Amino acid sequence: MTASKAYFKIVRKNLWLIIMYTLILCICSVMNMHSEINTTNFEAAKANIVVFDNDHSELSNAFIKYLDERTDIKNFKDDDSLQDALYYGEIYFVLYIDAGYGEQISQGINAELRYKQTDQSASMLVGTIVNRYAKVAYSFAPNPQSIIVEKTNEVVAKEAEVTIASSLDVNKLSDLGLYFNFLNYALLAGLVFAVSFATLGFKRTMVKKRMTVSATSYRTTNRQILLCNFMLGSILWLVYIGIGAILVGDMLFTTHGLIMIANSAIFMVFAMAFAFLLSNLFSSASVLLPIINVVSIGSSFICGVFIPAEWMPSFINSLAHILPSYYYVNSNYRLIEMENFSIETMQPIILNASILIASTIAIIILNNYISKRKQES
Amino acid sequence: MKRLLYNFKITFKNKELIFWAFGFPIIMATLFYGAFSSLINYDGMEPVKIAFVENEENQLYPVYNLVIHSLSVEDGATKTSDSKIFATTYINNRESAETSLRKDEIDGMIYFDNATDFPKLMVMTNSLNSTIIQNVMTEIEQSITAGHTFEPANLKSAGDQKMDYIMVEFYTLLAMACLYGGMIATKALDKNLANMTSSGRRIAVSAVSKAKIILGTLLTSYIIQLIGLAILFVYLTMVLHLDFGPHFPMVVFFTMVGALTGLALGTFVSAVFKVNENTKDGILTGITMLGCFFGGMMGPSMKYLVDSTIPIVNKINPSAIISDGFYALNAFDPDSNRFWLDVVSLFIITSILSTVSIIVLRRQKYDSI
Repeated sequence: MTASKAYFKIVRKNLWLIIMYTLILCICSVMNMHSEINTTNFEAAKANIVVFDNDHSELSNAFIKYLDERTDIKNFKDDDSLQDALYYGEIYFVLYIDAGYGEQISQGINAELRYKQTDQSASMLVGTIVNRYAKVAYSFAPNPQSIIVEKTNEVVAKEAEVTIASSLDVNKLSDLGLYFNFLNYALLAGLVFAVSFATLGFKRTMVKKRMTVSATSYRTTNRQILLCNFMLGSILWLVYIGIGAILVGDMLFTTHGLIMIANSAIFMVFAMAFAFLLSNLFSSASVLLPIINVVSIGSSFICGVFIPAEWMPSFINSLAHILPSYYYVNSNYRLIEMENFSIETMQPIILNASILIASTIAIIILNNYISKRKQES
Repeated sequence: MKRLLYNFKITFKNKELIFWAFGFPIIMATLFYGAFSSLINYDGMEPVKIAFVENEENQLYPVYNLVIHSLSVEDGATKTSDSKIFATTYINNRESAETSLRKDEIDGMIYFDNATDFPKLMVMTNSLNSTIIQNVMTEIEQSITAGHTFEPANLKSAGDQKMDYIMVEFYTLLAMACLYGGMIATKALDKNLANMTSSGRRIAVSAVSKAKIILGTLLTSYIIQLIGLAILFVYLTMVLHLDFGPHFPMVVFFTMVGALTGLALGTFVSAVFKVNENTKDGILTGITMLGCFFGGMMGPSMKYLVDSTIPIVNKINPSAIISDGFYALNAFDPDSNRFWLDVVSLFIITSILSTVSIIVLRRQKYDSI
């Protein structure tokens, strides 16, 4: 086990760098959970809006009360911060009710309401909520404001009845999915970095020469390094799972959570093999680092980690199929929506896992082939 | 001049560095553009798939049938247009519609429970599409309750959010390119350090002024960084057709300031950390990666979250400052306090990093090495 001893000696030497990387990614995972990147589960009723009421009439007060029941009204006094909030999607809609609005409607004038909105779908939906009250109110004009308010409230109280067929707690499952999807990036950036860095120690000319003339075959050495990679990877993976347990709590130990843990374990093994292949192909950190960056950030983007896959063009979705990350992320997305667990419903998940395992085996074989060729040359 | 040319020659021979400076940002830009291209070149969303369960016994059925039909795209259409937002399947029994819903073939089903009541909506989860369907149904229900149709409200835009939210991704990409450019300085400087390379040891014992050599090296690194950024700009604006707003000269100026910060960061890592070359690369990558994450690269809302919860982080994060400067140039104008505050912040960070590097590098002597 000479290779193993050497491996952990290198790890110990670079431990602070590995810890720093793991910490960075842990911070990123925690922050990611608290941002609103995943906007697929938008609820119109929860959208943040800002209302500037310069009218303070009976109608404008009733209008604001109606909006308050359906949206979350925020206060912004500073124009710059409101601009930022609009741009970064913290605020979806800004409504300005000018002085005299209630009086004009009461007299039968279709008074102007000014607004600002982003071009996101969520903003359009808030726009329809605002539009609805304003047009219903105007439809009862001319009349005293009290009558307009009374009749408008009666009408807007009528809302289509909705039944949600799924018994799943979608919000909690989305958090779980968000965390495990982010693990794609953390595993590819963090684990691959740590493992490649440890393996790079074997690339030093003197070490390589000694290994070539030693009695140990390249296969045995590769197996030992791969085993060490697996051990190091497992430790780091356990750290991520531990953080997951803190962030998503009990959800991690539900059926959904346990399958996602298993899925991430399979992906972790793939990441280990991939890291070993990279470090076998390239012998310098300055080559490895950009490649790890391109692979981790690039594949996370096009496989739907940072933005939902349905927002991406079809050719990118098709392209993503060649990347193992796609199958890992796809399983997470499927699991979020999965209500019943049976052989039939689990088939796509099993297929995705099989593709990941097959990719791992293919990489190990390729790695052995490359090692052999390198040793021969 | 001769020294500069010599430095250029050395740097351009280093393929890894050339990749960092020229290839890496372009690959990342291509990936970002690919991922966001449908949002950048938006041409209508996919219609919301609904099943409308037919029930002619219900007195409200004809009204709903008429409205839903008028809001539906033609069979096979894949994009919405004006008021056509639904792709509707007409089904005559509720069970089949529910099966389609559970199989995720449709986003929602509209059905009538009896002969008199308003129809109901069934969806799988609370999603954007289910909210759209609910909005339309509410609109019809309210119109029937009021007994008349509604004239549109007099809503007037007070200035839309014209800037593209997705551009934050490209702002952070530029920030990343500026800071990763520091890798050129790290590598180039390492060649002059006695504790790093044999050429550094030779320089250390030579009679040449070290300050001149180091300044020459840094100037070369900066010029190469700027060439890399210029190529990236050409790619972003000419090939990907991204719009950096009306103040392009200021965008270029600000990028040059950002590149200077990258250079100072690279110098700082090379001078201050007494570790091997690989570890220095790891440190620089780690700092840049974390900075870009907080600056909004993996989702623009992250920058807003950090800005509003722990503002100090992004006030000292060069990546977030660079990204914020580009944003300020587009959202406000070049004379805004915010833009110039970002410029000054970058100069302060650059000065601090450079001062520390100079203190560490000056009069470095070794008894043995």
